Amino acid sequence: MASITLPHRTDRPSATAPGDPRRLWQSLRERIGAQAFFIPIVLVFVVLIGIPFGESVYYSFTDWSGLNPEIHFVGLDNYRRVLTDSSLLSGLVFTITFTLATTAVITILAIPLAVLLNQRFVGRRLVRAIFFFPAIPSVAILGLVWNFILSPLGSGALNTVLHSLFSMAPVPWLSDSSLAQLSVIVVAIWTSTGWHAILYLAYLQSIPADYYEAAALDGASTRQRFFNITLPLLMPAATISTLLLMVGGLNVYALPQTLTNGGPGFATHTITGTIIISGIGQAEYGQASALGVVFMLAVGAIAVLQLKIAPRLGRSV
Amino acid sequence: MRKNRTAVLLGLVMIPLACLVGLPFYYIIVNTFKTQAQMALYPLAPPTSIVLENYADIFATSPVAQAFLNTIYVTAASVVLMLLIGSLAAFGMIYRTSRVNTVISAVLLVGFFVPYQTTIIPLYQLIVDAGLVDSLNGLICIYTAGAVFCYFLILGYMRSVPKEILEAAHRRRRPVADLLQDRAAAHPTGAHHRRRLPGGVGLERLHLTDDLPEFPGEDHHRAARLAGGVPVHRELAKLHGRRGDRPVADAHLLRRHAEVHRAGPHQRQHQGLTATSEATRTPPHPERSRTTVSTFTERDGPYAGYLFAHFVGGDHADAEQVYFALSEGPDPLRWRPLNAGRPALRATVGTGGARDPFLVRGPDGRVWCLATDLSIHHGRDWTHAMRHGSRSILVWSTDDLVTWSPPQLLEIAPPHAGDAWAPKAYFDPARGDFRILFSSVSYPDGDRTVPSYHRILQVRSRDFQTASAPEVYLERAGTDTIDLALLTAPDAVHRFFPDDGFVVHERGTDMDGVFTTVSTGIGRGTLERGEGPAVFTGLAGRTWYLFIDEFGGRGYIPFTTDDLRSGWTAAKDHLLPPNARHGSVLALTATEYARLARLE
Repeated sequence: MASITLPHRTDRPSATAPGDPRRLWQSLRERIGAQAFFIPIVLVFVVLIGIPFGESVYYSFTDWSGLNPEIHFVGLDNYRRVLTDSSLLSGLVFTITFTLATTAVITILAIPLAVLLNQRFVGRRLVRAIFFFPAIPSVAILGLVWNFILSPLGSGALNTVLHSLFSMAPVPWLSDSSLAQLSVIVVAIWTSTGWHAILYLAYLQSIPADYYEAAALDGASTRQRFFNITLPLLMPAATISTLLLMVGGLNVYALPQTLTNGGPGFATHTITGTIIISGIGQAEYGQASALGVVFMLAVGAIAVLQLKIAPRLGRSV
Repeated sequence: MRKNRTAVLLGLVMIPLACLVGLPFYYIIVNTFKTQAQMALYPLAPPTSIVLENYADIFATSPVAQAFLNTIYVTAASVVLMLLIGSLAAFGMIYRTSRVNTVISAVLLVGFFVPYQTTIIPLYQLIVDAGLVDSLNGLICIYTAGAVFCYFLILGYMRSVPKEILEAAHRRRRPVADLLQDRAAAHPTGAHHRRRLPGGVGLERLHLTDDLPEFPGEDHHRAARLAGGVPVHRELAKLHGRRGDRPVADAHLLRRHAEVHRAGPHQRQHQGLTATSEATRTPPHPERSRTTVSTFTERDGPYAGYLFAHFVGGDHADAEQVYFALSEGPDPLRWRPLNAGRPALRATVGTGGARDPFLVRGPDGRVWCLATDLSIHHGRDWTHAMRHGSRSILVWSTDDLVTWSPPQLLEIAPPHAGDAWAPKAYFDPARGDFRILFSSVSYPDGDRTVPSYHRILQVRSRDFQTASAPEVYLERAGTDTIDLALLTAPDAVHRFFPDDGFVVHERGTDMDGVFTTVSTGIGRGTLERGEGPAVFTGLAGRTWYLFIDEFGGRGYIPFTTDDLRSGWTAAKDHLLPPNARHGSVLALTATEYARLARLE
């Protein structure tokens, strides 16, 4: 039997001799080939996100109006104005209120709703479909529908119903500052709760029934099962759901625009609305850009917080 | 009866609630058939007479058809562009993860969080400059930025394709599109677990959950605590929350736990996962333990149980190591993990990973464990593993199955080979040495990008310190042959290897004789796909066991037969170690069994 002793056993075999140009070219070609897949997305990113973002940051330090070819560097003036202008600030406050309120209420409603929709009951498919349905049409259409319903005039649908049932005087749903804000928030909750419940439902259905069986073996009550199995296992869903709600809330524009047109006054003005109006409508590019940058920092901070906190929550439950 | 009543009661609550939510839609639809006056007076009443004026007006005053066409055009064009660009990049990332890709990916992630409000003004300028303002194409251009979102969505999905499936495709050189389709069609076991969101599959990947740390071996840690009386559901819930990708293992633990529970509280005090009754801990045939002479052909051994060596699925450093499990008495369908479910042998030399462990007993009773020197976790990808993988195998040895030598590398594949996989060794009494069989890809002209395939090679060794020059044992030209496993029966040699996604069984008079096919496609119908067969004889010599690894799925699933000339059937009731993959089973004498059973 011809046995050979192999001298360097721990060496990893190296396939290509380092000096061979043909091999070098081949490995280079393979490497470049893999990068080529990224060319389109890099182009899209640079042209549609990278450059505009850079320009925004640049404009935010200037007084450019979009028309006047002369551009002056004004330092932090735009930022100072953004943080002191009351109409801009009211937009900021409403946007944040809207975001926090919708995120909290939708999450609190959607989880129990998902649990209910996961039970067996008569007409379950239909009920699921109806709850999900408001998420399908464009928000702009929903805004218009609710505009009819909540019309502050006596002829508004809700006011008519209230009048015929309780003989109530017309309620100024959309013409009173606080009521208008409340209305926008309620309509947003109505549009999104079903969607988020379906998201939670998808996660609920991925929880193996074994867990509940084992819990039953341990003698856990329904309440204990909800808090010790269902809720912790829904944490990944909650992370996504709240992240989407937060970012969506901060971005909100179409709903208040169609429901109240930002009014009355500046009550339901949002950051996005302000950026669009002062930037494109009033050609105050510099100021609008500064607002955009401030806004991005806010969104970024929330996203980072979310990603940092959410996994920990899941672990500590 | 009671269930039905609950269903009706809940329905009675939920349907009105749904009606309330749907009311605005009812309102808007009903009112499209009313005149303005009716609408104001009776907003919620059904229309008294159907008025179609509103619809006629709409079509007369605004270009509805045009609007629909515009919407369809913009949607279709931008979706196609987004998908194309996003999936190209995602595939590039999966195909070869390089530093450049990773940096690009990170930058894209940051870009994903730039809200459109921040870029909308320069973007508007850009569109104006390009002369695309007020045009559908301009709109499409802007929507194309959504490709970044698409990229992360698709990347998440592509990442969830188990590496083992990519491996299989690489071996068969099939386009990735095919294998993604396969996967979609196959509904792997984990499918119930994969989240299907209304907005798109795999959304959770976006927030980088797949970057959560892995907790190797923690299943068993936790299980150990479970056995000590910690409420199981909470532990498992936590576990599941951390590692969403191990439903099979979890279910396994649960079953185990349920058994422990049913067995009664006094047994819960045992440490470890394997808190079972004393009766099964003692070998069933203690009288045989006096026979200490070890023989090496399985059929005539005075054996009492089995040792199962395997690695486990998952992408963490501890997955690709050697795990041991001990059979529950003579039953090779029920196992308890040894070493608290942690790796028993670790690859401390070579690539740092040990896959496909194989146990073999020598004529003097000494036992060797061979394994593939391969770490997909530490390494790059399957292509690289096949072209520039280790040509050595890992070798451990032991006299008592408890104390093992440190691992050594034994180079067995020729210099022009790209890898040395799934080594198996069989003692040849005629020559007094071992025949080591393994699969290997060869690149005879040195160019490792030329398509090639796996063959089964053979070397001979007496001591696993040195090996003879390799020769070809089994080659199917142009087709991969891997994971060959042999079974010696009294009158024949049987061999098993994966082919076309499932396992083939061939029978020959001896190892070098002519083999004829006994059955093909073993596992079809039970498994999504299978490879890495492990085959062995039952203690009574009347039943044979074949474990097939459903890779990218449940791991090892056992099959049995009472007649080696006919087919194999899936074993009904079994409890294999969680997530066990490619390995082998060794029969143990009663002494050895008792020694290992005491270990825990």
